[in-house]
Amino acid sequence: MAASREILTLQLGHYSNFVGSHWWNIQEAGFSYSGKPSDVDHDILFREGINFKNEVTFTPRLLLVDLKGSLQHLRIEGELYDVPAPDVNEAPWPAEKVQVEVAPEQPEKNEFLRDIEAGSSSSAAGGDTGGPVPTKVYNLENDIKTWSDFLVSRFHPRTVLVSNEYQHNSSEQPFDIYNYGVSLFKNPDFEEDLTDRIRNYIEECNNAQGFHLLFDGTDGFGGVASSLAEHLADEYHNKSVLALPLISPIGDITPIQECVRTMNFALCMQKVAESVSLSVPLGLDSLNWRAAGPPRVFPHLDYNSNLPYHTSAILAAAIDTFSLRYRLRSGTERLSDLVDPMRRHGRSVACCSVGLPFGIREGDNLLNTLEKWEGPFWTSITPHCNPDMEDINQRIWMQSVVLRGIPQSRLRGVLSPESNANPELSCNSATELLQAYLTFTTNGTYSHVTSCEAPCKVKPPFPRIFKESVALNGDILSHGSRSNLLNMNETPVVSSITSCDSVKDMLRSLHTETARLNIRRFPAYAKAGLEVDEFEENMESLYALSENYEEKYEL
Amino acid sequence: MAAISLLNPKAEFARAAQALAVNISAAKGIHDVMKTNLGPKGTMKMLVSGAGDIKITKDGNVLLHEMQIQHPTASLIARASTAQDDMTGDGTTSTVLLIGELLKQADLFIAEGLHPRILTEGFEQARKKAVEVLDSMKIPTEAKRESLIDVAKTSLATKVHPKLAAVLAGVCVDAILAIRQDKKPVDLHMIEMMEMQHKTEMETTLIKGLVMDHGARHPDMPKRVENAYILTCNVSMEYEKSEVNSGFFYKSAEEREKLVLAEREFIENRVKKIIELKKKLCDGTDKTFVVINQKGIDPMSLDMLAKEGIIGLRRAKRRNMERLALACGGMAVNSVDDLDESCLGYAGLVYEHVLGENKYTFVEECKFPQSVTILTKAPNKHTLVQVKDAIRDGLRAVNNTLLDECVVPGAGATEIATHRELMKYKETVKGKARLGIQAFAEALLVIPKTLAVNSGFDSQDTIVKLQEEAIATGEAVGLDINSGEVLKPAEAGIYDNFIVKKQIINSCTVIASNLLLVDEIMRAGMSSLKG
Repeated sequence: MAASREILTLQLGHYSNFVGSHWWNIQEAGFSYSGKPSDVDHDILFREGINFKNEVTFTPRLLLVDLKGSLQHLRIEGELYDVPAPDVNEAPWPAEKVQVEVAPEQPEKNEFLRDIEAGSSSSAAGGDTGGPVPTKVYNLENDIKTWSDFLVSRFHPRTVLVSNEYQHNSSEQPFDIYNYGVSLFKNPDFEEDLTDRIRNYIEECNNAQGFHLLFDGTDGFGGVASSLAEHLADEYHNKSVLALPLISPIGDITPIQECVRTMNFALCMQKVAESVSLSVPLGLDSLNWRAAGPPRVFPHLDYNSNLPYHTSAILAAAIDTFSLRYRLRSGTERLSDLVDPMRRHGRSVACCSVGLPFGIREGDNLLNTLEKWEGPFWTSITPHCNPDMEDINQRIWMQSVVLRGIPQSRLRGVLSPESNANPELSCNSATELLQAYLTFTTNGTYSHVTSCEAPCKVKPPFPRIFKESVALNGDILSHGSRSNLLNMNETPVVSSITSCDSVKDMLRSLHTETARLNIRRFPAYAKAGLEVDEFEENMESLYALSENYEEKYEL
Repeated sequence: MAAISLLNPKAEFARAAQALAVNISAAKGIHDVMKTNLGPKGTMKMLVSGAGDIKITKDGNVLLHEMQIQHPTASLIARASTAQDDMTGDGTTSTVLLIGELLKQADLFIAEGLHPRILTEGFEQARKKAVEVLDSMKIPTEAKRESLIDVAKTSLATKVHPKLAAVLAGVCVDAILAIRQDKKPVDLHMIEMMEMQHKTEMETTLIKGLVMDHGARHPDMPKRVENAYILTCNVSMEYEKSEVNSGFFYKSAEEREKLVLAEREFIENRVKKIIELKKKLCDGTDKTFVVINQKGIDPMSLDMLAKEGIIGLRRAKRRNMERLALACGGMAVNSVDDLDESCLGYAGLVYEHVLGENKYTFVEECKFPQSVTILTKAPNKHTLVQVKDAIRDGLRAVNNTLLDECVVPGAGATEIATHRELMKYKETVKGKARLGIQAFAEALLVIPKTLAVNSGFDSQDTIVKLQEEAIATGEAVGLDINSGEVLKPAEAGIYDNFIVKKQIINSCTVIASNLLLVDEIMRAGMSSLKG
């Protein structure tokens, strides 16, 4: 049954869809059309179907939710399942009685989308066909307003669910309170539509592993996610759920909105952690509660931390990488193998780090790189969490590491006889090598390592965030720089999910920041149905959650 | 200078006459948008999104949900109207029109210096009188198919094409009559709505049984069986590794293997129990066996079932468990221990229909189905949605009739009659409040007037004709939208729900009065703290 290990991905909210769009783009760029099957088993996250013209489709196994007005030019039903337009005469009403109201503004498509439509970028989506690398360089930073502006994937009609109750980016009636989401899920039409689509997806799976639940934690979607997580735990109790609460870039907001964001996040973190298997909050701001901290620094990246287009790409690369553990064609690992050991002792929140690109020098090998490594191995992308392997005062209980993009040939250099004593030399794969390295460098940490030769594809529309010292294949150039006229192709990436006591700091700080706010000063919550007692209870549970990370309670 | 600006200099505000003007113009605006959609001859609106998604409708409720209403007053009216729909399933457009017209009439008097408070007092008196008149016009009905179809058709004709309305009316009435038990209230959830993108909407039918949107996931399972036992259960027949991995229950690899096998066997035993029951009941007879499970069934279990010729369906809707028990008999079981014949339901025919990548399973020919399915067919998505919305309203209309046990004449007849009664009543009222009654009476005429205009006739002509006829005959008369002449709704079979009309009168009066009494609009919420 290793053959079918389907996972259904759920994306709730605008920023989640940003991350998701990048993620699906990265995956589709990795499709292999050359006959040699790729290392990644795409049947896990994608599904095969037949449309009404009897054409085979391969679309993401995905259900996404967004608000009205956020899709721009993306059609709710997608294009793959179109039927030929019916004859006007067949229409069961007199044609002269139809008034046509076209949406006021036709969104302009950007250069990249126009090229896709014209078919010129067939190679952009076309994996390693050996065809010409698309040379057109896009600078989409200013053009991209919404996630559909850079989406290459095409969706199944079941994928997109738009809530008609709230308007995207509305100032009259914003969807910015946790409890708005809770009540949206209580709306029977919405709930039935959402849960029925999930049921339809799971029904067609032979042996589903579980769910990826990406959601915006800082607005009303946190509430939708909590309710949905509860539903999943209830209905599909033996499936694993990996929740990824996302924190969108803070941007330019008022102090009140900052408080609201923090409260929303605290509420949904607590609720979601109760019902899912593992929850890994992601965001590129180092502090991120009420005040924005300095953005996370990546040694080889140069990105704009206020741009969702940029930040979501980094998160997507991380998600695509750490999820490889249970997505490899050769592997037998399941999502539950990752999440179940981690959540022992109730530690249902973990953090994530990513090394993008994995800093291997041009012409160098993995052994050499690891031996000479200085400074932090990767960058944490969970706010307030800074697991540091060097720091012996920190406890890192468990980590699941995935390294991708290092071919067997670059494992080590020519053997030199005098270094026989080095046990790392006996390692025959990147997995073993990295495992040995992590065993030496960490103190009492259980590390699970997976490696995969397939690199992470970072062709357009992946943003151009790599510094000039990064070569086209993701290696670090010792001198000189990459030509600005070329697009990056691929890069090795390392990513990890870590269960460590630094998560406690995050939960504590979230608790402190939120407990400092008087819920009574925010009438919107009361209006949306949150009682003061309930809120205080939630905060206590949040604190109790952080106590699970206390060593003194080990037994 | 308003008091609020002392407290919050950034607050926006509009006062007295200005505030009233804002409200009235908003009400008129939304009234103008919706008025062309009233009645069977009203036009459709096709809403096209930026990406090209289409929605075609003339259902007021759907329109109000789709339109992006910015104006606060207009969205207040829209909410009141959609609430009308939530309660009764009909009358959304009428509510918008009536609120708009009430404010328009009120505006005339206010311009002459009448205080809004006096007007609203008149409105209140008129409302009471209007409800009395409505009460007197009630036509008691029994739960007969013909009379119910008339009501359903009247409601549906305002939402879809007349030919389709006739089809849907029959479907809705039959569905309700099928699941109705004596005098008990009908649970509309027991009517499943299933859609198939296929053929045309004229082929929408009622299935006296259940249709599910999934099929057997094993190639060897029969596609069609007759004379079938139905087992509805909520038992996982799916093997999960997770239970083994989530704890250290083993010391060595062999022990782990054993555990895995034991777990596999655990699931297998469940399947075997079902097979056992099937063998006991069906072997040697012409009976067949169908398992419908709310939980998953994995390929190995499916395989075991298929070998025995059992159809196994997995992941059925939670609500379908209840519906299946009502449609086929038997009950939904939560464990496969102690299974016997009494748990099972029966269906004469179970078959699968494949449409592209979608499979549908029909469970039909049940003995006494108390749950039925309306199968909507249409060639494209937007028509499916349109038909579905219409069916929902049709069901509500039929259900309302059963609850009210009466109907009122349609085609504008109630409005004409109420207008006449109110004008008489006005004479008996002293003081300026009678002006409010007059405004209310005039406003009611907006419904027949708009009906006439939408059908291509002159509104004054029609109203005069109708009023003359009403006085001459003393009966309820309405407008024939095809000829522009007078007709008797009772003869033409045009009936409205009593509760809908009553609700319209009540809610419109309240909203209009509230809007009239507004003397200041302030905006000083969180959003204005932005600056």
